[in-house]
Amino acid sequence: MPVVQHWTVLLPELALVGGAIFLLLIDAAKPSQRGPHLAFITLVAVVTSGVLAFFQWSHPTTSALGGMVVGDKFGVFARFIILGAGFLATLTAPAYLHRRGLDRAEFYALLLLSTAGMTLLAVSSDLVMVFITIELLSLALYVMAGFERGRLESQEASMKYFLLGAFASAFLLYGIAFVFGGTGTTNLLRIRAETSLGGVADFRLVGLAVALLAVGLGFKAAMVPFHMWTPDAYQGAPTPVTAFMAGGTKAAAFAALLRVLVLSVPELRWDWQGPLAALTVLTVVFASIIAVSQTDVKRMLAYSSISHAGFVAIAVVAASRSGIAAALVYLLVYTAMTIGAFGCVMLFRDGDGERVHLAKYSGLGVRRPAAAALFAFFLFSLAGIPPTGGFWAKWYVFFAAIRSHHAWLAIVAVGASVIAAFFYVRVAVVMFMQEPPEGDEMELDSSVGLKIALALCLLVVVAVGVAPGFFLHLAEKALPFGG
Amino acid sequence: MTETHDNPPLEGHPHAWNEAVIEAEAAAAVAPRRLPRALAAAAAVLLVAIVVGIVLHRREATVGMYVWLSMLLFAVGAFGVLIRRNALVLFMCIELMLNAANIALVAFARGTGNVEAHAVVLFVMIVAAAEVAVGLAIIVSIFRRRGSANVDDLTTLKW
Repeated sequence: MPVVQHWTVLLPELALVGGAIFLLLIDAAKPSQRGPHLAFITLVAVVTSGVLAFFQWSHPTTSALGGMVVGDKFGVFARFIILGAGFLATLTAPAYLHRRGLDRAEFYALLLLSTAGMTLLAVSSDLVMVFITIELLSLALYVMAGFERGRLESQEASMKYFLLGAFASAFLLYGIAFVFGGTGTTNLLRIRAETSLGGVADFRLVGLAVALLAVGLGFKAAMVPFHMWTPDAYQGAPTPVTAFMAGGTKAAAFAALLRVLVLSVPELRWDWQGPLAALTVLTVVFASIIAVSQTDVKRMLAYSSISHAGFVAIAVVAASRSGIAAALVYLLVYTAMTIGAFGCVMLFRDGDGERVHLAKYSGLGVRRPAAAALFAFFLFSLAGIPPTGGFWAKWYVFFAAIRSHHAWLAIVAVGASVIAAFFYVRVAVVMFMQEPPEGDEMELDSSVGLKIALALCLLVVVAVGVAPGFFLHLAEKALPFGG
Repeated sequence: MTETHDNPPLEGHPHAWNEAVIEAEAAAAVAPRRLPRALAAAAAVLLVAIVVGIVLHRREATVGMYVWLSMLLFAVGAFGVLIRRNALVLFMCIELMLNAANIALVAFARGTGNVEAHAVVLFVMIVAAAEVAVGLAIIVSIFRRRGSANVDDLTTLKW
């Protein structure tokens, strides 16, 4: 299939990088003026990028940089999720950063660069591009995780994330080297041609390579047993960064995983489906069980995000049209509800900090019923209780698994989500059924940005809950490489 | 110095940042009891090199040999990451793994006659340089605060 080459595929990323450079320049010119206008510039860059990406939806599949980047509907859908995560994180950030004296242009510049890395990862159709964009998004995130230098937890999160992330990229790179050795190319479409009937691929090398690639991408997507960095990084990082990491990185990593596994080596399906299914079971079961014993809400949400990675991976194992569509819908809902949940953690102030210990949530439902109800709604959606968007996301994933003869995977996942429901519901029980402590006024964060972000998250989760078919239909149109 | 203001040392920490600790650590690094171990390691490497040299003497180097070499380096790096505890050493081991991948890429490029991989190696070098910049900054920042680059000391966050 000859694909038209045109550089305009890269316009959304150029907008993001341009925004980042602009932020650094105005900060260098007027270092004394730091404030919400930095966040505003960031939002403008993200929205511009989104509009530019939107125009690609109706275009035929185009590629750029000699086939390294492909502009298809799948890329536009994934970009929208990632840009949404960036947009929401930017909305929540100013108040949080200001309270801790961290409102600097570098933060927003890093956020934009990281977003650019994620969106490029979602549209890359060459393994070299996959490696470079993963490094771009990670290097920015390492710094953002450690942005609160004065706090030990933040530094520690940054260090652990960095060491394990770099370790994972070495595996990824070694996998790329072996793909090149086995097929003589790093382009995903050409790898597909070489591994199909009539290709000249050396399957021993390619098999080893796919395993290494899955390890590298599994680290980024936080699948057990490559999840060790996740709880520490999510707990220690500043909460807006955690929300951004949880939403954006996962969407980008799974977009890349889908492109690499389902689209470039579908002929090796019988080799990778089994191990990946094993990892999936391990992820959903292990993460759900460990999350039960957490008393720190941020850490609990981190384990929850690991278990959700397992659910998306079920859709990858299904490796079918409906599987890809289910994965996209899942990532969309997951991003909205997880950023919503972390946003609620930011909303519940405790003096200068935020309430992270579960015991501090007791009685919130009595003192602040609306905010607590919102948090409970996001938690119920994460648990997959109908009629929230989270329920439909899980429904489509299970449906895709059953249709591709992996019904046992769906059954195990349902069992794990029953365990998971326990710790989500427990937070709601603590909030609504326990007496508030004396003298705790439980003030809420009053920042407008955070409220808008929470409203947007709520809107997405409710919209998917009400009209799931619409989103599934969109996702089914968005098959990679134009179908 | 604004740096110290931004990054105050940890009060009461056993490894709190001060001159005495640095001197003690510097002294420990070159302590005589470490020397025999280093010598033994160097001798072992030399011995292996001599044996390999004798075995491969006058034999034409094939692509496969370089791939095996890269696997060996990658394994050494990965093993080092798993057993070493100093953040800097861990980081060096990761760099070793990246360079093992570079050797594999160049070897495969030779084997398949496709020079695309040479460009990839250049990209990897650039990315690795950027990673060094960020990584060393993180390690230095944490060392200033705790006076230790040992990853086992990172215990603020635990399950």
